[in-house]
Amino acid sequence: MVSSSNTIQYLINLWQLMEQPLWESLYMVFFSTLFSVLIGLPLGIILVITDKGHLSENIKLNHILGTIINIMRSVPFIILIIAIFPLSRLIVGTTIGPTAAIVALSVAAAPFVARVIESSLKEVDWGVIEASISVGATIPQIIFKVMIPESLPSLILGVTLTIINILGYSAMAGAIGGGGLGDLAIRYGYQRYETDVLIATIIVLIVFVEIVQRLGNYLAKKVDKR
Amino acid sequence: MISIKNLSKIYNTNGKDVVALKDINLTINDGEIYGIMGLSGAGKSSLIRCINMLEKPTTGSISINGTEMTKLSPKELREMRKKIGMIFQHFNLLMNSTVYENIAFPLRISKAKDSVIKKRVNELLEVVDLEDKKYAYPSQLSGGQKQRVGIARALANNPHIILSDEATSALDPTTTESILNLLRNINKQYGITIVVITHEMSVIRNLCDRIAVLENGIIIEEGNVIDIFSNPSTETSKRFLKDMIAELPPDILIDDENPNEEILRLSFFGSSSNEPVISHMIKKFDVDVNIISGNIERVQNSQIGNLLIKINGDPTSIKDAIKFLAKNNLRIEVLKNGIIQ
Ligand SMILES: Nc1ncnc2c1ncn2[C@@H]1O[C@H](COP(=O)(O)OP(=O)(O)OP(=O)(O)O)[C@@H](O)[C@H]1O
Ligand SMILES: [Mg+2]
Repeated sequence: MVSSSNTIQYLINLWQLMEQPLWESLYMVFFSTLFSVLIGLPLGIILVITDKGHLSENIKLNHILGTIINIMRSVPFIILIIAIFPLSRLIVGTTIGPTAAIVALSVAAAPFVARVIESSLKEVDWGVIEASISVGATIPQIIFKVMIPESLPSLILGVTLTIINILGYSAMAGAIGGGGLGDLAIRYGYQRYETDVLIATIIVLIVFVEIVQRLGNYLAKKVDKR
Repeated sequence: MISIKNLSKIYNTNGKDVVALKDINLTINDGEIYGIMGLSGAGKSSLIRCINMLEKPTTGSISINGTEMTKLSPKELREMRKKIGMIFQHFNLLMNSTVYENIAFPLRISKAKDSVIKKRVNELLEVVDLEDKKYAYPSQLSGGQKQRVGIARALANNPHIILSDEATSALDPTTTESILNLLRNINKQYGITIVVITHEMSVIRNLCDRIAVLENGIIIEEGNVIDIFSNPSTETSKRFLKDMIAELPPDILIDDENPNEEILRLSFFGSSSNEPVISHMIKKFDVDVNIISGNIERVQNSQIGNLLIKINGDPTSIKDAIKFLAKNNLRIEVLKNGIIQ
């Protein structure tokens, strides 16, 4: 039997072990999501409006961009991170630690975000876009006042998906020195066989995913008036 | 005035050309309600969409109040479109915006001041009778209410012209009636030219001053509604008007060999419908008349009547009687075996 004071001490120790990696993970996920959306959103918009018959048809650009995105998405993440090392060094001056991982994660997730945003924006009924053209709206006005607000619920769900994906990627980034919960799980769970740390990490990840997904669903539903 | 000259529209899909419009010439006057009718695929939508350049004409010219639409820069075209409202069969409203924001949309696009927008939207809500739905979302509205929002949106920038592509086709007859009333009032009150596409007889009958009938991309008939209704010269127009033209019931037996009997279809318009022409004919020519069917329709402010009658009498009397009817401004068709001869 373990006394209750021992249990509390055990949990405190576990928490002390996990606190820093948890913050690192949140830091990585937050900024990687931010930057990947900043890169992916314009790419997604370009993919949509340069498509055949759309606002700014440009089949050539559309194909080139689409191909680049497909290539990037087919490279395994772990290889992509290594390939991006020079870029990380250029931007943040290092190739290890959470900040370096953000560069890799952002670049890796951006093509995914571009596709997610593309498919959300494509849901917007062409009739509504035509109605906007018929009142003399410019292309930027149609994008920002019509397409984005009309697909907002779906965009929110797309960003939710991105956050969860990036969390998964960030655990992999941990394997090559990115820090965070993935790093913790590898060091304690894999290398030292401290299974309880591994389990605690998994529980934290599950809770995180659950919170993000519920929040995303809630927000998407709230803005959906269709 | 909308002046369309030698307009052609050819779509190219996968290397195949589809000719949607062929050498269309049309003038639509200021303040009139102009109807475009025709069967599915005739080119109606293509035609109306060329007016505000949603489709770019392949050849030809479209001039609106002297401005050549096909030669405008993108910026000039956007300014021009602000003065051409459009309403759609499926309303095409912003589903995530309130009624208020939907109506405000064209004004925001034009960068109007908030105070101006507020005033104008409230005015428009009153025009379309939706004050109580100001903060509702489109999904909370009926079809008719949605179309009212569409109309208010089309009116927001004080357009000279409203284009309507099957605006009532998704609505039930009662709602259609109320939308038509609204359009008619808008036309009267603000003098806005309205171009409507429709396949519904009630729209043409209750709304339009003039119409064009399209078939395979060609205007096959054009003119005043009353003229076309009273004397449709093409099969397409007749098909459209068939509700109003009395059909010979199939169980009426026609004896082709009997020279003492004729079946006539009479159409009469305006004042002649008030005169007892038939009864004069019976008295004057000693023939018997049996009325098979008949109806009277109102078109604009005129009446158009249709009558199927069987005349019995000796052949010369029947001939004279028919001549008499023709003299009295009745249009006559002699039917045999239910076929127009
Ligand atoms: N975007 C397009 N690309 C290719 N062909 C088209 C396009 N739009 C219309 N067409 C073709 O042009 C012809 C005329 O179409 P249009 O939509 O103008 O007909 P409509 O009279 O409005 O028919 P409906 O009553 O069914 O709406 C049809 O043969 C149609 O298939
Ligand atoms: Mg059509």
